[in-house]
Amino acid sequence: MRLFTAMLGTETHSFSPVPAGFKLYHDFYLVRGGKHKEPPDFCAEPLVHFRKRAKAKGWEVVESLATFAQPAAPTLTHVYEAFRDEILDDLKKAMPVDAVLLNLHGAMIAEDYEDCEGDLMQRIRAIIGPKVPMGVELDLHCHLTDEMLQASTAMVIYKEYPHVDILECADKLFDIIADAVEGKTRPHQAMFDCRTIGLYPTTYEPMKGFVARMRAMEGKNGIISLSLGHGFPWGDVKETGTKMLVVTDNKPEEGHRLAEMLGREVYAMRKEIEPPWLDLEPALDRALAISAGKAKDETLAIASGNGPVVIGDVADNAGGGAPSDSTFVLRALLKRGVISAAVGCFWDAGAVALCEEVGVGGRLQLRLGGKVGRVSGDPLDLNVTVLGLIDELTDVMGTGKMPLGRAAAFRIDGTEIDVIANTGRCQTFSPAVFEAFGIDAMAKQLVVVKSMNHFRAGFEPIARGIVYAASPACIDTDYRRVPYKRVRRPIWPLDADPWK
Amino acid sequence: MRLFTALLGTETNTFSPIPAGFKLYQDFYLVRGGKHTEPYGFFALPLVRFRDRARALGWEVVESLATFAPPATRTLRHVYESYRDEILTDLKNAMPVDVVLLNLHGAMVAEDYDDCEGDLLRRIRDVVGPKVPIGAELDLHCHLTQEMIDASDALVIYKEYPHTDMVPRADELFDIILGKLEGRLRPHQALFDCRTIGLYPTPLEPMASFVKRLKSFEGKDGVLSVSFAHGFPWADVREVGSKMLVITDDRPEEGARLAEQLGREAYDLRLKFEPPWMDLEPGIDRALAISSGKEKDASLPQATGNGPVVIGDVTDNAFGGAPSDSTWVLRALLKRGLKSAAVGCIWDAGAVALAEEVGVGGRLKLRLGGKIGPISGDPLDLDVTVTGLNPDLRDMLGGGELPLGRAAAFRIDSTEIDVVANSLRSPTSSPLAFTRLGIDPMAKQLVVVKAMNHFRDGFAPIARGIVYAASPGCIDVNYRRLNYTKVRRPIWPLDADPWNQGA
Repeated sequence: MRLFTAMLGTETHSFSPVPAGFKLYHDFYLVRGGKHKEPPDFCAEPLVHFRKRAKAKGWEVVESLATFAQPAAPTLTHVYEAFRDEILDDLKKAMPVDAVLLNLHGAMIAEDYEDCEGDLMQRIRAIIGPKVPMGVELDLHCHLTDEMLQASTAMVIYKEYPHVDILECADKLFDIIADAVEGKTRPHQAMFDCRTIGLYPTTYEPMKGFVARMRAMEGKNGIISLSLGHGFPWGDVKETGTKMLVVTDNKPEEGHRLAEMLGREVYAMRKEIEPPWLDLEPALDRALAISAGKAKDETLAIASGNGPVVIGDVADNAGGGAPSDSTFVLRALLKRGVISAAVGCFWDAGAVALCEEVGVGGRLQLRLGGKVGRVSGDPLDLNVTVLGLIDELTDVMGTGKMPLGRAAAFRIDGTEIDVIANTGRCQTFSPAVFEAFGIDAMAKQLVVVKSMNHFRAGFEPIARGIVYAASPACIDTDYRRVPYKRVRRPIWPLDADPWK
Repeated sequence: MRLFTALLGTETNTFSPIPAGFKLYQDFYLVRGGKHTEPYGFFALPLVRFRDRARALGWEVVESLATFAPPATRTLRHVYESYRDEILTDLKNAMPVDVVLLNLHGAMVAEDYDDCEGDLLRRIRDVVGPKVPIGAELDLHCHLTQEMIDASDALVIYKEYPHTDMVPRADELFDIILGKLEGRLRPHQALFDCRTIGLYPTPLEPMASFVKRLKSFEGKDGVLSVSFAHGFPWADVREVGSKMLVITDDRPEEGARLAEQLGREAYDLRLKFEPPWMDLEPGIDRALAISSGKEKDASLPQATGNGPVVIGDVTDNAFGGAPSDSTWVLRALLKRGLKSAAVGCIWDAGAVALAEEVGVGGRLKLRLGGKIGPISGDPLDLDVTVTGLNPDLRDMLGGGELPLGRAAAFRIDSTEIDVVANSLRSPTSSPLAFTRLGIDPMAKQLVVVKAMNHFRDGFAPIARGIVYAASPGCIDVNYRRLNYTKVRRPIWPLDADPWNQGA
């Protein structure tokens, strides 16, 4: 048996000011021929797992391009085409193959391609013919399309957000495709369009219970896999939105019925499963109230009594295509006279270079952030002392490592506010980034992280409370204000009652 | 004979927000053991000349550290000490040497060292002893101190600003030191403090004639060299200001008399030496008036009728310690609806990286400049198309090369305004900064360069007019507004009449 694997992905924010060319992929993750590090980085974990499983079965593995870019604007057409064609060329040379396993994202858009994954999968199908099983692992923030469905044998989508189940999904996908290769099953995929746009963390109710229910139904009654494609609200394509996917062992009718049933459940609870977004100032009010013991965060089952309140600076999440250099939250903290906080990570290579120039203990008049575009807000002028410098800062997401580039930490004069700036645009996942500088996040009143929700996995264990603060930066969580042009209508909340 | 050479310098603007550590030196110019490559870096020109002259005489040459940083704030103490001690260690290892020739700046200030050159020269003297000749070439924007004079045998300072005479001055210095070494000359240095702060381009009258006058004394009546140290106004050190230096063949009294005579002449001419600074809006008015033929630039008698008017964005000159990323001038051009201009170079490595990401022809919503501090002004949000990329842009000044780093050119939508951004902070000195990115400055109505005056050398041949526009950036040309605390008083213009002339 011969298995072919590849990865090509990013999560495209149609309105991001950050361009996506070759360098964005090269700088974040690009490996050829399976030369992944051990332990592998976050985005390479499925590929390494596919290989491990295949070798255990005595299969030969042909590993093509594996590349992933930090989310940004639509990828340049020639860049997408070059990477795609490299994979297709590798595949042609590897033929005949017996199975294809891909790690894709599902929300990659190029300038002239609304549905990169659909395009790639159809071209792969054209090469391997109708019978070779093709399995695809997707991020739950995907725009699931008919083209992807038709071209693939089975798609397995992460169930968890934060994405802590990437390996589990890879394992499951491998089982499904191995069974198909060996003729044990005949996977059928049924999809249901929930007609809603949203973002749904899975660590608290009722979404947590829905995920548990999906898991419980798998493996029975011919149901091979259940997936909810949450969708990615900041991609302006026809297929934006939430979709339910059911893979059965050749039970099309049951699959469709179940997909519709579960999909309508999701639609019905769409408002409850959306995070409790708060505008910036009310969010700070709430964070300070929790900090002062005047309010409690019910989403935290075992909240730390003395830890910090963690504020997600959700609108500036690099993982959603934002610049990660907006100044709205830090400016608001300073205006309120908050003096104890840890804030990270500002994408500001210029600030890092100036900190490196003066070294640890050096003092600077630093203009921080606000350097990429209007969504960055105005730069902040600060007097700071450099606390630490790191040549290669890494964060941890689940079991995978995330590169943050060169980084500097500095303290704002007259406060105990410690800020991290870095050169590799990336969201902040865990307290590890602060610990790396000797900044004790536990000792701060507030921790502000430029992240949408992934930070929950790392910060829940130390947080007294978690607040989602929506500043007027790149990622607008009021979907009615997103300037969509292409989204298929009707869809909630752009249309009040899409199901009439 | 064994010659020892070294270069350690920068022009410190103590009011600059840009820090000066190791990287500032390493990224700009740092060579050890004489490994200079052609075309030679601007600041390496004297060292290469010293070496060529020495080898022609059959001397052995020991080349120590050669490093120079683009002007910024005070160099970190440990950085200065590390480079200084490296030179001193090399010197001790090279001993005995017969002669020492240095290329220094003269306005390098470090944390805890207001006079780096005086400190370095004195320590070198301590190593070589009283008899070994020490010569140093200095930038005319130096703070000339008695310490430097006491420790050296001869200091020769550039006469031209733009600095187009580094090599002739290197020759002059070599000749004097050679004379001393061979026992033919006994150089004596006389210093006169003019008690004035100023900045004096030398292509403009009456400064151009004053330079000729200084030269007219050289080579007769025992006068070996006459140097006018203009001084560097943007440093808060005791010795800020203009000084006159006369080197004679052991004629102390005549030297002192001539230094005073010429120094007082310079004082009397100080207002006329200063460039015709204009505030930003009047500067643009004047540029447009010249462009439309309503006014003429008398300083450019040979000006062609069809070139651009060149605006020096003087307050954002990287070679004076400015960030080179201020947005005042470009914002003003856009506000006036101007359509045809070339603007460069804006220090914005982030903008360069985004341009590289989309490539030539790529379009961007770009936030440009305004990224270092309040003196950078607010960033500009522009819709642009990338028109050129250069992975290693180099400019030329006075026959030497100046690195500009990675660079990108952008065309602002709906205009013919082309802007160059670069990754290595350095001033724009010649049309090469534009033509090497495919921009033709000759075809533009206006050219805006982030430079104080060096750009005259490269742009005067193509300019219809030159305007010095003072926006509210880093380098305030109104010296009275600078926050001096250490400057020796009295001094003009901080004091109205430092010589008590009653005027």
